[in-house]
Amino acid sequence: MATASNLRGWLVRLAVLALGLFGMAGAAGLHKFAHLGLGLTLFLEYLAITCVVWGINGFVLRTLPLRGVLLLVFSAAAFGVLFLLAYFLRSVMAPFLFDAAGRFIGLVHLVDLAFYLFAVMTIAGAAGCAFSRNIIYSAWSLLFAFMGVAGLYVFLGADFPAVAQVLIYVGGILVLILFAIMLTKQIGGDPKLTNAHLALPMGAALAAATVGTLTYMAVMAPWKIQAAPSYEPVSGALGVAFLTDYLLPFEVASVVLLAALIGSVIIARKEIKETSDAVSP
Amino acid sequence: MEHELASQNEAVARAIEVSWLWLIPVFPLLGSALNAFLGLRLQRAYGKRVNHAIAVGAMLLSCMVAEIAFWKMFVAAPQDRFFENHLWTMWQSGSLQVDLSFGLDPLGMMMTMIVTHVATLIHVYSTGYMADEPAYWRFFMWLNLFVFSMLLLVMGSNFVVMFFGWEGVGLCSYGLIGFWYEDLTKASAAMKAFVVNRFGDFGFIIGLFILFWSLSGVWSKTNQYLPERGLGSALVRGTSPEPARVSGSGTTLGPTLEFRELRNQVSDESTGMADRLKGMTLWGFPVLALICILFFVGAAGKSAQLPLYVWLPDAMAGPTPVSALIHAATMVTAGVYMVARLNFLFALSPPAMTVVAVTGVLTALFAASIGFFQYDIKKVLAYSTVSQLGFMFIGVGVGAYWAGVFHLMTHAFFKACLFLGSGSVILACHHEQDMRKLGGLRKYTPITRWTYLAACWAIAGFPWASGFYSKDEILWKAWTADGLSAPWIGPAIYVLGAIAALGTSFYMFRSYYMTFTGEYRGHGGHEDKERLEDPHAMAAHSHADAAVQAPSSAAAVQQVAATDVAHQHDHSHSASPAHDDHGAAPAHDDHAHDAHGHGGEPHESPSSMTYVLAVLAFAAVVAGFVFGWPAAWGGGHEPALERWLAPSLPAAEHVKFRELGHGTEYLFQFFGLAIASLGWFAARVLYLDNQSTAPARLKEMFPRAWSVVFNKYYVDEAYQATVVRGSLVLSRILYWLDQNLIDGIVNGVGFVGRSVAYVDKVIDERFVDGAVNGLANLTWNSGKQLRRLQTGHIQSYLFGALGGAIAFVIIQYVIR
Amino acid sequence: MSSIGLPHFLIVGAALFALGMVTVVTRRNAVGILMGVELILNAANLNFIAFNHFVATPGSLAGQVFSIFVIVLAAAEAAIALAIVLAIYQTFHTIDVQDTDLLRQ
Repeated sequence: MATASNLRGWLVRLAVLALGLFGMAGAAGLHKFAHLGLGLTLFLEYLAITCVVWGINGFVLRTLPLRGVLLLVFSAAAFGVLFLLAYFLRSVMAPFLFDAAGRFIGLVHLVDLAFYLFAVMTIAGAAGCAFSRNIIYSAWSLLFAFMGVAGLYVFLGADFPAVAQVLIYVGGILVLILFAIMLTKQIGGDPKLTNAHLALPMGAALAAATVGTLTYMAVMAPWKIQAAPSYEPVSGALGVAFLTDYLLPFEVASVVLLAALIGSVIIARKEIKETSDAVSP
Repeated sequence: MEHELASQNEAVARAIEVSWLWLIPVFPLLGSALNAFLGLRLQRAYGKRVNHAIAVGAMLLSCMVAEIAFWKMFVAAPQDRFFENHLWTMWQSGSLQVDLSFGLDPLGMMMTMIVTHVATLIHVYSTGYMADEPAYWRFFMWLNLFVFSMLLLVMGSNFVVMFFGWEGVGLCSYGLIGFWYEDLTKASAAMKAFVVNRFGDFGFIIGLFILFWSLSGVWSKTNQYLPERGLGSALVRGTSPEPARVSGSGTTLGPTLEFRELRNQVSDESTGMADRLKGMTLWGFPVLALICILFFVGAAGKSAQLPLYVWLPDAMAGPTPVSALIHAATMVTAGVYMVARLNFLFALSPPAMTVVAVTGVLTALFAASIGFFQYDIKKVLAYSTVSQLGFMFIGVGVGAYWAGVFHLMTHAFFKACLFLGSGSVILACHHEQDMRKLGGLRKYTPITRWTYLAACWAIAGFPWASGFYSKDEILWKAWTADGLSAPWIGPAIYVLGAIAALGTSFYMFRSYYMTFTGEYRGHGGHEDKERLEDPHAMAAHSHADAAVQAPSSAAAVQQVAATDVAHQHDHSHSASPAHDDHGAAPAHDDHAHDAHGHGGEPHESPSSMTYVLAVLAFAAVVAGFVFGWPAAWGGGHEPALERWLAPSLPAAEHVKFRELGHGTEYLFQFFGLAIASLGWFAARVLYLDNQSTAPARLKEMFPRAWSVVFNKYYVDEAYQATVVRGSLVLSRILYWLDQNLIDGIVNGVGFVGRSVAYVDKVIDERFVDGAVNGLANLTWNSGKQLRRLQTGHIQSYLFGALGGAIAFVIIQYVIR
Repeated sequence: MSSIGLPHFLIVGAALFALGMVTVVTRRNAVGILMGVELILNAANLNFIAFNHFVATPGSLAGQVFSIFVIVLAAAEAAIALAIVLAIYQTFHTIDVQDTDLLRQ
């Protein structure tokens, strides 16, 4: 019985609390949209806060016997504090935040953001490839590096190389590498052994020196930048170029590909051993 | 022409250097130091009279110097009444110079006189009241130190010295409320007072910062004060020439903390400072209102106004002379004094004045209503003090600065008298404070009774006693006030204040009738029911020092008494006639309160106490018409105190009051009399001789309202649930941060240190040792290394090739 | 107007090249070394196309053509190299380059 009445009282408190919260929002809405008078709005808000205080009193501030006049006075105090807080948020904090956000957005172009995204993707992929302990992870990181480079090609107006990059590197070479890993049974086992490093600090020092030197060159060199880089589609022009100006290299390349095809088959073919003990049952 | 000259002189106050003002506060400091360092030894070797001889002697000397200063000021012309005494420069920062300096103007002079004289009287009283106290020296040490701090506060000529005093009185208040620190209730009351005062002091110091910030500016060629553009201004960088530092009318310009210079800058219109301050805003708030309200927060903390009044009733845990001196007469009026001191700022900002006045009247009404149903005589007086402080703030808030200060003065007399009277009652009835257990004391303690009645007469506001003049002046000014935010506020304040005055009269006479009429009810044992009914009131008997320190104090007293001839106030009656009735006093120390019944008949206090009561009662009656004889009653000029204070209150001229005829003023004075009579009559009907059963029946008719008021509107509980609990949660959060964040940083620093040490060690081993060993091994190693070049690892070769290429590129860049 | 210019691409290319070089020099796994080579080739390609875009005379496609050839040769190289890796694996039963140091003898 006691629990039932407790539960009922609890529910009533909860309902009044909800009513108060709804009333606070509702009064604000009425003021905003229905042009309710300021005095009436404040009065409604005060009533709603009184409801909220009474409702909360059942859960949080139980030591306070908030009844009658005391409730009204305490609600008035809470109302005042909330009002001041709202004033501070609305008139001081909000303009500052909006202003700061606007300034930040104005500083960044969306195109630049996309470039940095691809650049970070490329470098992070390459770094993953260089430093990962598991060779499978290296291979997957390589995928990101290739995709990032393809994205950068698009920025440079090279649509055909971008597509070729995706097709050949991602679709061909990467799959080939994964095959090689699997065929040489280098997955599983101790991952440290599968992809161990050799004198990594020395290598890192070398890389740092290289990056430093090349960056210095890239930034300091007086490049003759042309005025308006073009972003025309290049596939057709490339086809014409291969069959006119670059016909001989094109043919040589096809011969190289054929030679590589045959050569790799010959190298990788399994030698048939004459020993009898290797025969499987 | 002459009038113009006079008003100009009044706007710009010039100081006269008086080289001996520092003597006034230094005597109490010396007395305090003597008692602090030698007090215990002196007390043991020569008895307690040495301790109080030091303390009272210091106070008498201080009084004497103050009186000389008063005389010097009294004979001087009004524009020459600004005395200053620069001792030394405490610090100098840019164009700001802060001196340790004392200043006295008529307002400060009046406060100094009140502080020194009332304090002297209370010192004398304490020699009787505290006669049985083992830690006698400590009491007088604190008391003297308090007077010193209070004099710093009052006499400090700049904000910094005033702030020293402001904090000093807070510290002494802490030390004296918690004088019997073995009792946890009293110790925590002391802590409460200290902490609540910190809230106020926070407001005060923030206000000071904003004020200082808004004062900074440059005196431009157009003879106007212009704001500097923050820290980046040319002046701050030191590239622009030093601007003129003195305006045409002789006002020193630039940032200052001196009250007099600030007053000159603001009230001298040719500087433009007042206009500039009025125009400034900070985050959308008028900066002047912000400053004044923050200062008022400080004043509200010190002077126990809403909502920071909660510490004062609890502060009654201290000895009664302390309650009289600190928590009635002097320290708690510091806030009023500060507002009056800064009248030139407050008068510029009607919103701030309105806040002050409205807070004052609300506090007056609120505290008066709590006072209705308290049973502890000291609590009644405490709430009465809060209420009367509210009246003072009404006065300074509506712009009648002199009236507020006048009430401060009269209140110092009659409230000190009331508190000391209550102390006499408490002593007479063996540390009983519950008025339900008093009663009928008029035949046992006639002197106390008559002085208490005179003070009640004064506080209730019957004519020819001081309270009538000051309170009616305040309420009259409130009714006619025209400088507040809205015209209806003044009359509203009047109505509420009149109700509070009615309440004042009622509860003061209630306490009088309950205490002094009827039959003595103190013989019976304790009714636990009554104790339970009043869980928040301090346990009445815990005030007795006996409660906690009975065993130790009894021993100490015997030890001291063995060497103390003058204070063998025992049953032999040998010491002096004054101690005749004091026979039961030694019993206080070793009685436990269950032994209450054996205390015997109440007795009149020793003469050291009764003389003081008589003097204060006399002052409480006559101070009113001596200093505040209203102009409406004839005599042809303004009240004496108003004329005296005029040089200190330059803003008083500019505050507007509606002009109403003398007839109206008589009518309002009659209202005041009627209100006082009504309160007196109600108290008489309900409480005379403890005959009427009406109070009990009323209590049963409205149990809930009675309970809310009796429990002081649950304000303490609200603070407990919000501020105290919030602080505890915050402290837990900070503890967590400390454990996890700060310790992490510290450990991180430690780790860095260890790493550096490790690197150092490696360098030491590798390079220093290596240089020695390496030379020897060089040949052998070089051969070995050269052999290792041929590794057969293609990556090593590749590394060499790439590294060489990069090296060549870098070398090429470097060489070119 | 984008503020991304030639140096940005060159720096990305430099980073790619350096990381590839690290891979090549420090990996003990032959397949890992191969991945490093692919990174280096990609870095070169990026530079080719960047220069073609920013520096070459308008209409010229030499950089892009070169990059296509590089991709072709990379494919061929990958095929051959992986075949060699398989052959090494059949011979030594490992592809750890530290263990395949016949050149030392």
